[in-house]
Parts: sequence; C-alpha cells; structure tokens
Amino acid sequence: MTDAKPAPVLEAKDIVAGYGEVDILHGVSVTVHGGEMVAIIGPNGAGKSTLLRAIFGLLNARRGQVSLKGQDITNRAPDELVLRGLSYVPQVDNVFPSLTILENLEMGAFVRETGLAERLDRVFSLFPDLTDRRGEKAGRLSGGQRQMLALGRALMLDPDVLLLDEPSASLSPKMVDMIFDRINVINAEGTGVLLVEQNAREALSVCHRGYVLATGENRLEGAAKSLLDNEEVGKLYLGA
Amino acid sequence: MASPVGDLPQLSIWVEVGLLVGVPLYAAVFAALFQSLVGYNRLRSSSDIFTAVTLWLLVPLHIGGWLAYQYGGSLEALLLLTIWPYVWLTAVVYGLPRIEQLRSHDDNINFGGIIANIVVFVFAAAIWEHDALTVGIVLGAIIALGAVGLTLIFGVLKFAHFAHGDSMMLSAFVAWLLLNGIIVGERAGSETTLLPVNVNDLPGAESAIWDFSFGYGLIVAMLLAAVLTAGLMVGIDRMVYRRLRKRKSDIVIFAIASLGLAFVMRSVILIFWGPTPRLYTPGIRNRIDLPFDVSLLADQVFILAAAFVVTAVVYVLLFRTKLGKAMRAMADNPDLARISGIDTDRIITWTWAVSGCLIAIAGVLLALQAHLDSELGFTLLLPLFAAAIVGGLGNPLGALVGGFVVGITQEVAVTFDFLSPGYKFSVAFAVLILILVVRPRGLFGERS
Ligand SMILES: Nc1ncnc2c1ncn2[C@@H]1O[C@H](COP(=O)(O)OP(=O)(O)O)[C@@H](O)[C@H]1O
Ligand SMILES: [Mg+2]
Repeated sequence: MTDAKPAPVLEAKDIVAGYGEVDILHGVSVTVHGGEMVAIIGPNGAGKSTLLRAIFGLLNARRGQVSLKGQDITNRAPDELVLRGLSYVPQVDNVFPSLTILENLEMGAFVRETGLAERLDRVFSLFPDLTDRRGEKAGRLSGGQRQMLALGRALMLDPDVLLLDEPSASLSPKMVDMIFDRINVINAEGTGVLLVEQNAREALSVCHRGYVLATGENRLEGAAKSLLDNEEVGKLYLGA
Repeated sequence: MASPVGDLPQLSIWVEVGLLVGVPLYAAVFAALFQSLVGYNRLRSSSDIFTAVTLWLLVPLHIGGWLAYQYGGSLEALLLLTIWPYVWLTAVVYGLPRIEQLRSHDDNINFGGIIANIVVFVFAAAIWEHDALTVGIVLGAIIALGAVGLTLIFGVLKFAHFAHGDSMMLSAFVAWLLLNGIIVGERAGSETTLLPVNVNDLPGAESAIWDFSFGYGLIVAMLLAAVLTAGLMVGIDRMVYRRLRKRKSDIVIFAIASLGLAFVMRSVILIFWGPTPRLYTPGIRNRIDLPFDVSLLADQVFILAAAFVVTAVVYVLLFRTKLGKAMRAMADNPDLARISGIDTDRIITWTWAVSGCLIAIAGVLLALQAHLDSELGFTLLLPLFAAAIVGGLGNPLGALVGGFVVGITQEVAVTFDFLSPGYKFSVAFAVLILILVVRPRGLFGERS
C-alpha cells in the first residue's frame, strides 16, 4: 500500500452503541478506503458484530457518525443503505432457507430491478457451485455453499462496500480458503470489504489493513502485515 | 329423566362413573406410557402438548358428554360449549409459545409415511364413505383458502391471527349486504333498512346460472367483498397491529389483540344482522350426479372451482412475482429481508390485502356451503389453525394440503358410528396433535 490512499468510502467515527441501557461500543472508529480490504479482529464479545450492526443501521448509534462516499448515513434504514452502496452479510441466518438459490439472489436485488441478468451472471461466475443448483432451496445447501449464497445475495446490488461478519465461522479449512479466495476476487474487482473475523491469522493474511478491537474500543490498527508481526497481537489472538 | 331430544340411551351408573373417571385415567396413563415409549427427551415438547391436551381436552370432553346424556339437552351444543374454553386455553397456554420450538425440533419421522397414511385414508374413504369424502373435499377447499391466508399472516407477522374465522364470516355478511342491500336485519321493533342500491339490482343478477342456486350477482358481491375486506384488513393493521409493531410488543399481545377484534367482528354481525342463520339466495339447491356414484350440490361444484382458481392465482402471486417472493422471504427470515433492503412495511400491507381477499372468498364459499351465521366463523378457527399447523406454519403449500387433510378427516371420521357429529372439530384437533407428535414442524415445515 502506498501512502497516497484513495479517499475513504466508508468511515465510522467514534461510534457508541449498545443494547438496552448498556453501551457495548465506547467510541470505535474504522475506515475503509476505496477498493480496500480491512479486517476487524478481536476476542469474542469485543463488539465486532455490534459495530457492523451499528454501521448498517440495525442498531442505533448513540454517538458518532457513519459516512459512505462522503455522505452521512448514520442511523439510516437498511433499504436506503443498500441503494447507496452498502451491503451486509450477517454471521448466521444469512440466507432464506425455503427460497431457491435464484430467489435468494433476486431478493438481494429487491430494491433495483434493472440489470438483474448481468448481476446474476456475475454472481454465478464467482460461485459456479451455485449455478447448477439455482432452482434448489437454500435450506438444502452445505455450510460453505450457504456462505457463498449469502455473499452472492449481498453482491446483487453491486455494492461499494461489503460488510462481512465472520464468513469463515464453522467452515472446514478447505472451505475457509475457498471463501477467502472469493472475497479476494470480489475485492480485486473494486469492492471495498470490511471483514470481521475470529480467524485472525487467516484474515490478516488476506487483508490490507486491520483493526484490533477489545471491550468495545480500538486497541490497535495498522497494515495487516505489521499486525501479523506485532507481538501483542501474536500473543493474544494468533496463539503464537 | 325425560329427554327432550328423544330416545337417547339411558346409561347405567357404572358406565357413567367409567366415563367420568375411567377415561381421564386412561388418558393420563396413555400419555405417560406414550412418553416413556417414545422417549421423553426426543419428543419432549410434543409430548408435553400431548399430555396437556389429553388432560385438558379429554377430561372436559367426557364430562361434557356425560352431562349431555344426563340432562338430555342438545348434545352437540353442550359438547361444544364444554370443550371450547379448554381447547382455547390449551392452544394458547401450551401451543403458541411452543410452535417455534416445535418447528425447530428435529425429527426423523418419514414424511412419506404420513403422506402414505393420508393417501390410504382418502382412498379408503373414497371406497366406503364417498359422500362424506365429497363433502370433506368441499369443506377442505374452504378451510384451505382460509388457512393459506392464516399461514401467510403468521409467516410474515409471526402471530396467530385469531380474528381469521370471524373476518371470514364478516366478509360473508358484507357480501350478503352488497347483494341484498339489507343493512339491518329483521328484529323485534325495528324495520329492515335497505341500501339505496345493491348488486341484485343489476339486470339479471339474480337469475340462476347453470344449476347453481345463485346468479352472477353473488360472484360480483364476492369480488367486491374481497376488495372491501382487503381494505379493512389493511386498515386494521394501520390502526392496531402497526402501533403494536412500533411499540415492539410481544407476539402474544398481537394474538390477544386479534382475539379482541374477533369478538368485535362477531358483535358487528350480531348488531346488524342478528343471530338468525341466513342464505344468500332462496334458490333451489340442485344436486348433480357425477360418474362413480358421486353426487354433489351444483353450488359445491362452484365452491371447488372458485377455490381452484383462487389457489392458482395465489400460487402465481407467491412463486412467480417479486412481491410474493418477498412475502415468502419475510416469512423465512424477517431480519435478512430488512437487511436485503426489502420494504417490510409494504410487504406487510400487501400480506394483509392478499389475506383479506382470501378471507372474503373463503367466507362467502363457507356461507354458500353452510349458511351465514355469526357463530360459524369462530367455530371454524380450530380447523383453520389445525390446517395451517399440520401443513407447517408459514408454508402456503402446506396450508393447502393441511386444509384438505383436516376437512376430509373431519367429515369422514364423524361417519363412524362411535363419533357424533359434535366431535367434528375435536377430530381436527386430533389430526393436529397426531401430526405434531410424529412430525413437529408440520408436513412441509422447514427444518431450521
Ligand atoms: N442482542 C443483544 N442484546 C444484549 N447484548 C448483546 C446482544 N448481542 C450482543 N450482546 C453483547 O454485546 C457484546 C458484544 O457482542 P458482539 O458484538 O456479538 O461481539 P463479537 O462479535 O465481537 O463477538 C457481548 O458482550 C454480547 O453479550
Ligand atoms: Mg460476532
């Protein structure tokens, strides 16, 4: 990465959010630049998922600001966000089980009708496994294929930034490699990615930059390589 | 003891004691046996329901039966009166909180086995009781239409719509109002008031089509009632359910609110049109003969045809249009629907509108099959829920199949000598329990 970075596409500044009376995030900031792939790592319960939910407007941000391509999107509803170019893949329950694969993808494109065929083609070429099974119910898919479909659904609006919550969770090592490889391809085609991962080593080895989150606060940030080499990160999250 | 209903058998005191004590005892022992046989852990929630139902339902059922014989009063009425509160209590207290649990319950009972049993049952009925089977199919079609709406509402809004049956009957009366223009029915001390115009004023609206007992006026009135009911349902959603959604109320609150609306609707029917059962037309109900010794009313042919057309339209809507797919998506996973950018409020509105149309058509067909009666809607609620749950809650195709399963079983079962027609709705309940025990997620419910 050169020093002259492209302008940020997604910027979350000083986010405070939580459930009920309790704040989980105490002023977290992350930035994704154009075409960048950024990892958020941190222990279980650090607030990584909460951060994604707050960015995507599923959880009220009590303080702070989220902007997409320079425009304020703090606490906007998801149907507006997807139109503006943000997509989100939750960690679990990220497909419609009783809908077919094709219907799942169509639902991903619900807010925009035009160009459906091209975008379907793109998803099917990214995930050839899904192509032959397009008429099958998503509930029948294996864990890895489900994850591919979830990614595919989120890609159906050609987002500028993709928020991914632990796409590798509970997948076999082979599947993990496959999914990361696909995310890499998606990113190489120009989509910014904000990737939450427990699988820190794997995530940092595919991402450009990374943030370490702990107890709802930014702990460390930097180039993915330097985090991989960082002693504290190594001790805490990489099991080194 | 003189019995006003004629020659009911006088039971000896020992038979009565047996009924009162023996049957509940048997039910309890059977429930316990069942649990130990099947394994408490594997089917815990369904056997909980089973126990609850045997204890809560069978006991009052038999006390009711005993009282009915004792006092010689109207057997059916007394039975129903005694059973209903317990059925509801059981359904609400035990059933509802567990439906989700039941749906997620893993089971490995063969789906094909159940289907095979249904097919064998229907086949046997076709041989030995084909008249009852015919009526069962007609009733099944009506229940199916209602249950599809019920299951759609459950799928999208996640609550049990207790006003479904009464909405059906209210729309049937609305169609009747449109047809005849009678705003206030005959009752002591008040005159019959008429609308200035009504559908029967249309030229030839009353002259019977084919062998039907009605003219095209009824079809027009039915379609108008469908539009009005769709509007009513959307209006009620705005006034009641949307407010509850905004407050993030528990689903139990939604269900109770709908129960309240059910009472309101029944009262509206009673206020305007009174408790007297009515018919759409005074026309003759012609019976027609079909091959294989099957005979049915011409009106029933209409009911089947109308149900078929409506089902086809709903199928196309749900599986071929973007709106329908979004409804199914919301039923599957409302959070993900929102995340995908689906305008959930709009989908909810459309769900009510579609269900409203189904409610109205099912209601008119029900009134055509039976009659217009303020009580009929509520009575139909149990078969409706049974059909929706049997098919797998939230699954429209399942509700369709469930409707026929319940309708046919009900009609055929009461032809057996040992079952009085008053037990009809207990049969629906029995079917429900049976299928929930062997396949908790219903016939077509998704494994989650
Ligand atoms: N729906 C919720 N209600 C209340 N607390 C929650 C909820 N979801 C998560 N939490 C709490 O928020 C904290 C952060 O959770 P989460 O963001 O899921 O962490 P991570 O994704 O980093 O593992 C945890 O302590 C968790 O218990
Ligand atoms: Mg998480």
